[in-house]
Amino acid sequence: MTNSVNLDPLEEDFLIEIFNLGIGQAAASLSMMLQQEIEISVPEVRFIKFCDVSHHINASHDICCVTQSMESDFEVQSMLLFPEENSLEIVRCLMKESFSDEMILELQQEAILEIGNIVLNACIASFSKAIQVHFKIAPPLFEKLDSQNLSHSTFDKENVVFFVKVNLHLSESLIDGNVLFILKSESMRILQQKLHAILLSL
Amino acid sequence: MYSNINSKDIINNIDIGLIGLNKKKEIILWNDWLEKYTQKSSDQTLGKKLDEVFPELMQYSANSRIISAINNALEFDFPAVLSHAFHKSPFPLYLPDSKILLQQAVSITPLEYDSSKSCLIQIQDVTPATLREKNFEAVVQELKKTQKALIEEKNNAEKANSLKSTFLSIISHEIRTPMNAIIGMVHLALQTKLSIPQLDYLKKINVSAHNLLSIINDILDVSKIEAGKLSIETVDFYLHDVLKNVFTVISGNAHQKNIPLILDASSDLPLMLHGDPLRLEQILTNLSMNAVKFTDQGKVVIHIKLVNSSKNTIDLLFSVQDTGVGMTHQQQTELFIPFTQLDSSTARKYGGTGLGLTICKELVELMGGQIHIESQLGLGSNFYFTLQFEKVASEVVSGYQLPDNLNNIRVLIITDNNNDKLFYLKMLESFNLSVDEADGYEQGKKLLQHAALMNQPFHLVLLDWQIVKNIISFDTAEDLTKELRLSKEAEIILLHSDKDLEDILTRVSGIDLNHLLLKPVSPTSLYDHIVTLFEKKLMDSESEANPLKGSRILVVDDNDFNLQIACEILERAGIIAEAVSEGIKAVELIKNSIKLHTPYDAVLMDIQMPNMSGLDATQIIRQWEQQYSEHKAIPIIALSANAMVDDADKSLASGMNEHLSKPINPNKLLKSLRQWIEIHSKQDQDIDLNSN
Amino acid sequence: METSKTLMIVDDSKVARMMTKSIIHNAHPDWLIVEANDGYEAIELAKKQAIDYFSVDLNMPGIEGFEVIEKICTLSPKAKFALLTANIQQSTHDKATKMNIKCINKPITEQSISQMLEYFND
Repeated sequence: MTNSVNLDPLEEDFLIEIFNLGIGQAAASLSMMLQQEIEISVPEVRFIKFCDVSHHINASHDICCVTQSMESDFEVQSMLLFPEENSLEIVRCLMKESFSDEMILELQQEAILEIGNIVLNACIASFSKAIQVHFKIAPPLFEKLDSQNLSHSTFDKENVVFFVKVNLHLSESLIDGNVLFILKSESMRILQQKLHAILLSL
Repeated sequence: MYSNINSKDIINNIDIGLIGLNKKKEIILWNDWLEKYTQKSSDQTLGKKLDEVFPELMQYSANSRIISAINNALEFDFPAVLSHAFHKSPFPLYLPDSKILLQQAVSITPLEYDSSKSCLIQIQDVTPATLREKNFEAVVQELKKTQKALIEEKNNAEKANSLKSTFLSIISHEIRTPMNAIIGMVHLALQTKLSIPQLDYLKKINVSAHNLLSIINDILDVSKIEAGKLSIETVDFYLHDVLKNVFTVISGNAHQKNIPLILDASSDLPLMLHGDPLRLEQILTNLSMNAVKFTDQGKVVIHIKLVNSSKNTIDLLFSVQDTGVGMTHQQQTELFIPFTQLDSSTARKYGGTGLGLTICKELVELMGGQIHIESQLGLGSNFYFTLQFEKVASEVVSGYQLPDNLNNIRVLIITDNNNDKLFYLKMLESFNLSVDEADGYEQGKKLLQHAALMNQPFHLVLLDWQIVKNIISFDTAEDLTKELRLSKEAEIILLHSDKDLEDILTRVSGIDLNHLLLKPVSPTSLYDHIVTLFEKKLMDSESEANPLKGSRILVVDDNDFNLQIACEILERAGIIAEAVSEGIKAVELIKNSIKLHTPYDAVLMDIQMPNMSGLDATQIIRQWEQQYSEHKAIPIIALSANAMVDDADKSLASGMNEHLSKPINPNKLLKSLRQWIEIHSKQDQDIDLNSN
Repeated sequence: METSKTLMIVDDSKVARMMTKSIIHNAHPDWLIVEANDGYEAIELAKKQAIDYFSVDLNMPGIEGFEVIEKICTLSPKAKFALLTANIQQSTHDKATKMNIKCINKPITEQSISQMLEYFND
């Protein structure tokens, strides 16, 4: 993947480490909450344009999406995406009791919402600590999106996305999770300045 | 715009639990909702730490999520939404006056309060929703179970059904063989001298046996229909033969219940049709049988109407109407489901397999029609359908050509039923006989006298019993002959309905069945009667002319009853019958007879036999004949319980000359034998001539 | 009396290594600090020189932290290991304890690194 975002390798490395920490934190929270071990793969972090996101998601059907927007002197839209078929699997393996498919569907939205909330909050926390910025964070929202057409009214095709791909092993199931941090170009510039300042201080 | 409303009122009236926490996790807001579910007032909780109020919160690691969510909110301003799916009851809230934990949906929102961090915890009661979900879940599980059971049941049923079909087709064949014996024996017994009660018993046995046979046939048909193996035949046939058979089968039952069975066939019907007579008969028999079964008073009428006639085809409307119990609309819709009686009590009261109507529907559809019902509860039912048949070019079938020596018979018909009369005329004319008619007894008598005077006597009188029964008295058949001033050679056939039979038998002693003809009269029955009555005479007077007399016929059948029946029929016609019960032995006997130059004149061969089937035996004989015999091939006629068209094809393919199905119809059998022996002896003579 | 030690930082993140290194350097300016980008490099370097302490990241591409430690253990049985990890689940900690490894939660802060150093200097 070409670095379309003009981050230097060190800045990139820094961001990857931030997301590593975030995902690790999220896994810990989930593990504690669900009282089971959660294996996580080394997150793959990429920096891509928003219009390319759909190529990076292994989804043939709809996508379940949890978003939380963050705001300080710049704006970030954080998103967690699960392929729809996968998300049902998550809910099923998280449920202590066995439920019918119909029931799982009912629970899907709120369960995904909470998982998204946990994962995103962990990533945001890691991000916020690392760059020493305090964000105002909106409550999580659940959405279903079309995998082929991830267009989102608030974003431009050219907007930068920190795309984090991570596999979660829950019980017997392998789940593709995708965490996205989407920044508008203005925000991207501000973030870059901050990263630069921090790296200089090391 | 809401300034008039006190925000405190809102907070305390809202149906959501609200807890405010400051940075130190001290409670700064506690609404009435929480008081209701914790029994703790705001006075008891405000200013206290959350874990003091809810020590349980810290006890379970499962609650770590809510603690960390609160921490995250107070520390990083992170909002959190807790899913009820994971956290059913994070706070120890109970329904008032009970131990039932409230199911909760919790969200945590970071707030800025007095310029320091704080958070608001919102708690929603989702117990009812959860209960609904649980109930729904139970219903879904139940449905799934039911569905699974249904699928399993369906699979089992399908398997069972196919097993059933196979089993039924085997068993029906097995039952058919003894049934044929019973029917044949009864037939033979009916031709012996019988007392009136004996005749009655035998007739009843006969009817029951036929009923049983038809039930077996029904079962076999259903299994064939289900297997998609039922085919429709197309042959030339007499419509009235079909009707006759229907009436023969039904009349016993109808008579017993004192329900008149009436045929209302319009006079413009053709004598012959091209189609499947067996299936048509089956449909009409089934429908009529049902009609009689469900009628206790009134009548059953079979209507047949010509509805359309084109150059090559003819459309007939058949209907079977009764004045019976009728049906509700609901019952009508369930009528054609196999093995379904209207209710089980129906089955107990009326009996039957419940297959009849299913078969009727399938058969009518196979023949290109559609069966309909009109019915009213308590008033009766009407089943009707229209079928298209091909027209038959010539209305004379070779089989019904009377022997040459019978061609000069003069016939007089005496009946007041015009419709019947027209029909008898049509039939007799198709036999190439000269016919006169009389509308009443007096007119008939005049015509007879006149003919006698002119020395052109009638040889046969068809007399409707309806006309004479109340006019004249006679004790014997001879009395009647005398009364009509007929010559001794002349014959009378009394046309009667089923209910008159007993009356006739009691009033006319010594009358034999050859002189009685049950209405409706069919061409075949009339033909058979004529041939039987006159051939007997001819045979007696000029026995040389009977080609069958003295001929030797080998009968092959593994069933002793069948052997006996066949042999008796043959012997009665003056034939020397030899019986053998195995295919192999039959082959030996035939070979020997040929070697000794005393070949059998014909062979009657059963198809299904152990060790060597009739088909195999025939093939062996035919091959052997080709190599060693200087005689022409022996006529071999299949006599088989296998009545399907393709069975006949198999027989012919094996080298047989003809395929007759059981039960044995004596007239047909003798006719066939006569035909084949004639051809054979002629050919043999040719051979002899050639070889000389 | 404290002697100069050699410490290897195994982490696939350069920033993480930088941060760890700067904190350790402040505490022990005399220590020699070696960096490895991944498990393979760490094992190769460990073969070439004696290392006293290892700070190993758990989640790395290629060989993960536990395996790296196991391999190096056979080369330098006397060395002390700290597992620096973002995977802060209890199960990871339990496994580390079993292997006699100190488990330090990321993020890398002065606090977390001083925990590690305390363990090494113990």
